[in-house]
Amino acid sequence: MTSAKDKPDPTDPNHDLNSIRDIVLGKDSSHVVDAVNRQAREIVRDVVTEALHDREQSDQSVNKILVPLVEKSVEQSVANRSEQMVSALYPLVGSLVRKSVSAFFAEFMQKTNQLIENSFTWRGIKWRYQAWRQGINYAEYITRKTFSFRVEQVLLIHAKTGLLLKSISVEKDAADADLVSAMLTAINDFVSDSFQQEDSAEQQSLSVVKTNDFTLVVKPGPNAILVGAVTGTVPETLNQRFDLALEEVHQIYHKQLLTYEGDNEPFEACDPILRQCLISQLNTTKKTVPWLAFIVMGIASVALIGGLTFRFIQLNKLSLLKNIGNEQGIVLLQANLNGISQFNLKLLRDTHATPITEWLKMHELNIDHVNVQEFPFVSTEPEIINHKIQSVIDRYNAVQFESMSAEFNGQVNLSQYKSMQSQLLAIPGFSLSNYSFDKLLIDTPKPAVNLLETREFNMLVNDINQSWIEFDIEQGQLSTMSKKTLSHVHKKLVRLIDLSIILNIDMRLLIIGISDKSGQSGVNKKLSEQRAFSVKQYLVKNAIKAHYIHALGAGEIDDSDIASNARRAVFSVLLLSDNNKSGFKQ
Amino acid sequence: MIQKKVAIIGATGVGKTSLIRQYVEGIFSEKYLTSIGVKIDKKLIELESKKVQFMIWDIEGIDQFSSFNTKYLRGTSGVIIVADVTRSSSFNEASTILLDVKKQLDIPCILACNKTDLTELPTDDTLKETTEKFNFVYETSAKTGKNVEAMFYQLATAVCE
Repeated sequence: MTSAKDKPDPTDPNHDLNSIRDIVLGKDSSHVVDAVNRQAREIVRDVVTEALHDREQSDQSVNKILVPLVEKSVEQSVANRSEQMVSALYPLVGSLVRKSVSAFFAEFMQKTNQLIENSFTWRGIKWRYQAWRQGINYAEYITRKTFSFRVEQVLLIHAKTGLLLKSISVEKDAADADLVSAMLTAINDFVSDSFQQEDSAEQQSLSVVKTNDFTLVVKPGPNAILVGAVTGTVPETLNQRFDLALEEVHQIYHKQLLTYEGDNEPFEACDPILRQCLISQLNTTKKTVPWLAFIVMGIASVALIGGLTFRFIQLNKLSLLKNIGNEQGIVLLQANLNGISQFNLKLLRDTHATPITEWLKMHELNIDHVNVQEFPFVSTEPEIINHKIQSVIDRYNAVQFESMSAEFNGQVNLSQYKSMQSQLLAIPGFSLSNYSFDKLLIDTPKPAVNLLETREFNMLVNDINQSWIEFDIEQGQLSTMSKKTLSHVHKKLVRLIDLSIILNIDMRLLIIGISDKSGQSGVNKKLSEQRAFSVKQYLVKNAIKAHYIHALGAGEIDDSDIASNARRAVFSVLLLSDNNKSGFKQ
Repeated sequence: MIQKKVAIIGATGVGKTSLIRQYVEGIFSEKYLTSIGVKIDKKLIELESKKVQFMIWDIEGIDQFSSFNTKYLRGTSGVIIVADVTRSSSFNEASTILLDVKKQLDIPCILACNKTDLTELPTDDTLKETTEKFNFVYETSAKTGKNVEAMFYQLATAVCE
């Protein structure tokens, strides 16, 4: 349904023309729209790259639009598709980290070397003073000195107003850039005004301002000034870099610079251009092999190895010192390391044990390094007893002692023998029964016939022969009572032996064990032997030499006189030889 | 935030530096003023719709023997010319300065009649003639701070129009 307004007016002078247009293009130009829709994609496809390139060259707007879009896309990808992002970056990360770490270590060694060099040298002290004087820390000062040059800060200043358009710096806390810009412009104006020749149209301008620490490289352009604060020696390449950057700024921001009204926002995008100027170069002369660092590291390593070796040696020595406890006659109570090289020893030592100093010398240990705290001690160890026996024996020239066989041999007179015996018995742990004196010849002086002694000898022989030791029924061991009786016999026997020596009589004591008839005769035989040996054992234990005594078991005794109490051992003194037979009675 | 360069000019001893000291806390040493004839400070002013950072160029005072370096006025958005109410000749010098400025730039100029804590503003015809040439006139006192803030706020408004 069309309104009257839409209807063609036949009176209109363009009526015919409109009718033709409708026929050719269709109502609402639909033919043209359709045609454009069909072909637009193909047309745009052919020129889109060039168009983007031209637009970017023209006003950098393409980059402005794309950068936020790309940033947002990456941000969303990281947030939502982190796995895919990690997979995509994975091949790069390893080599990136390796490269970064190796670069870090190379720089670290270099810096360490320089730090050491600068710390211990005259130059280091001078630099410290300079750093203090300038109110900056030493590390920062070294950094400045380390770099051949470094652009610390770059300022882009509007030439006409002296207002700061953009500033970037290495350090976050860079100087108040807007005031610096303004002051620099003022100084530039001052210089320009002061040194311009009246007849010259050429504008004078600062190009370099030098201080102790910085060189301000000033690059004036028609609408903007580029200023770089540089430490170190400014290379020619830096000037070229600044020139290029300034040209680029003028090329891109020409319009904005001309119409600048104090709004810095358009110049935010010039960050990449300025950042190209923020360059540095390490001091190549110093990039040699860091010998000093190596030497210090080497000394530290040698000291460490030396220290560990010394410690190892000391511990070995301590372990060796602990072996002193294995020595006979020495008991080690405590051994420890005191400080770096001193040892403390606390021990018990028998006076006949090896002296500590000798032991230390024997093991090539320095006595000066060992503090010994020694306490007296009596040892009953065999070696020490032997040592003590030897010291007793040494007093008797004709006596030898074989420690291996525990035998005494040689010759002594009777009084010497007695004296030696008492000295030996005084040795703790010494027992006569453990040693043999059979090979020791005892010289007895030819006694004059002494009737009294002979008489006593005979009486003792008689007494002993009439003595017996009673045993309990079926017992071969001595009872308390029997021991008491035997002790009397022992005393008599000791005196008898003494007299036999004095009288030069060779004598033996025969001990005969007997039993009653009760029980089996075989058992009784054994029991009688046991009784005889019990008596012999007692006497030998009590210092009667074994070679004086013979013991035998007689078995059962068929004698009506003693059959009532035949559980006994009887004695019989045998006189084997005598020099005065007439006086003796067997 | 936008930046604007403004200058404060006046005869020697009218109190320019004192006015700035009253308004901002100086960062640079004042020795710059005697060395190269200018000292620069900055101050952020918050207007209703925007923030303006003033880079205030305190230009060394002029006297009968020397004028100020007009190069320092390049790119200036506004000027405060200071006169001393206790010294009528300073108003003549302010007129001269205004002429120099207007030769170079068509920018808002404010007359600061300073030291009003010492005496009142004279009302003679010459003075009236002088004040009429300025966009704005303020009676100020660097000592008491009278109208200092308002004057700078007015300048900020004027330069942003």
